[in-house]
Amino acid sequence: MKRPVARTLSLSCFIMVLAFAAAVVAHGQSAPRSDVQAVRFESVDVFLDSSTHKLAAYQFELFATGGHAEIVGLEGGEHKAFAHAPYYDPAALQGDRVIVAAYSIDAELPTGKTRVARIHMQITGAEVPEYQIKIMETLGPGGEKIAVTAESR
Amino acid sequence: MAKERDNLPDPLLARLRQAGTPQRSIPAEIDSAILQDAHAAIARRRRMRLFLRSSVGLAAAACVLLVVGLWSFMPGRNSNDINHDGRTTIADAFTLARKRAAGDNTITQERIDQVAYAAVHLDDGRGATR
Repeated sequence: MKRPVARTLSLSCFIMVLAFAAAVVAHGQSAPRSDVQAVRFESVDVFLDSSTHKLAAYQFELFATGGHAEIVGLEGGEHKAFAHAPYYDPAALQGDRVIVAAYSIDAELPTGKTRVARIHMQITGAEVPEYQIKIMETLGPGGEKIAVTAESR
Repeated sequence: MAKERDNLPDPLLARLRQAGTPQRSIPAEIDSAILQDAHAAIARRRRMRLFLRSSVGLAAAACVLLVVGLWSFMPGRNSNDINHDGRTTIADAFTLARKRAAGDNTITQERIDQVAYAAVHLDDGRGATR
């Protein structure tokens, strides 16, 4: 004859194991986790407009505000004088701020509005980041400072 | 005077002549020793003078090195600030690149890149910040 106490304990353990397994299964089948956010990529084109002046060198700082944006790559501009990838700190990758600079000693230099760099970003979440540009240096072919306007899109 | 001397008696004159001449001659060894001492003293003095002069020269050189060293390591000192405007930007790299393009072969492309990368470095304390 089985002892009633031992049978009760065995049954209790069995019920607990079943309950734990049910909880694990239920958790796995629940709605998508809230901490998993959508990731997308976009590129930010930076334009400088030097009007009638020839643009021989530039340096600007770009940073993202709002949202969660990370810089994942940079490439040069549309004019052949700035076609190569500009100088930037590799430490800026995976961050939301970068200082970008380039110069050209070519005879042919861009005037007017020209795309000088394209910055690839990884955006996480639904919030749309905004990008701000701070011009640090813009020079003409003789090293003289020139006025430019900056735009990103 | 000569007349008075002529009037003196001969023995007195002889005694007077004897009194004017040295009684003993200085031995050559002593003479030589004194001379050697004098030479040694002169040489010592010359060495001391040379030592002092070279010490002053060395001290001056050390001061110059110290000043140059301190100047190089001063907080605001920046070897990448080619145009001496107090910050490192692409203008400094561009200045070097223009010199190189004009034929200055002492400037290497590596040096230009070094300055350009210093200009875009994020945490140098001189770069732009928000």
